[in-house]
Amino acid sequence: MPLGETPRILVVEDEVLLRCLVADELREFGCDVTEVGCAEDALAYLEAGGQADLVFSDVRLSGRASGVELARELRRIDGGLPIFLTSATATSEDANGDWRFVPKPYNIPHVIRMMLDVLGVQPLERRA
Amino acid sequence: MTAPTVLLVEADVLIRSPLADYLRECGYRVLEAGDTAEARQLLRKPDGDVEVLLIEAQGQGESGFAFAAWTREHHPQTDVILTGALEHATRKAADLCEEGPELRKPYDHRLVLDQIKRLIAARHRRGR
Repeated sequence: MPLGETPRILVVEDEVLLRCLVADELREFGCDVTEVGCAEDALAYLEAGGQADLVFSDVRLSGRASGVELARELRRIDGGLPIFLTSATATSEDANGDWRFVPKPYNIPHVIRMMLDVLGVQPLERRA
Repeated sequence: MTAPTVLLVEADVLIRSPLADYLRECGYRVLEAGDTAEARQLLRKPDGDVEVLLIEAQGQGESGFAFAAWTREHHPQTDVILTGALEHATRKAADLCEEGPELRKPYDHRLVLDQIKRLIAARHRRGR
């Protein structure tokens, strides 16, 4: 992504406390974050014109579609969109797709640095 | 000084996300919940310290009225703002910004309203 632009991250996680934690930390790293709780909301947001430079999604979601199904749909829409999937109980399907897989539990700042690295953004000095 | 925390409860991500961004631009820390079950979890967070709850009066599932009553009973330190239609919600957000930690609003609340309306119109065009 172009130098100096704020990374826009779409976080898809149905566990609200974890979602809040990850989103807060991403904001501390200077990212714009959109939070959704299911794959359907993620697609609704993007299809309505919402922007994301990277999607970070749990595999197990409370809606009709899983994170893997979301990732496949996102691939169809935008082949170059960086996607990170995470799960505590990964199957080979979860871990071996056309995306990066992060096993739970994960170190949030470490994962954020991985995301920023993929986006070519200098890992910023956390704000707080 | 820690930014005051607003808990925004709104099911529709196309409404919630721009409103949350607007309040953040005004200097608030914003927690986002898609429903009252998520909002309850966020209110119970040990470091939650929610100062203001912003919730639509007639949401899906448990009504904002019922949740406001529950919040007043269990979290009396939290101010509750009930909103109505979209225009009302953005006006209430603007009122919050007026009283907020930043000295000025980042932009007119009508721009938030326009942004939300554009997103919702795009969703309707796609038939979702």
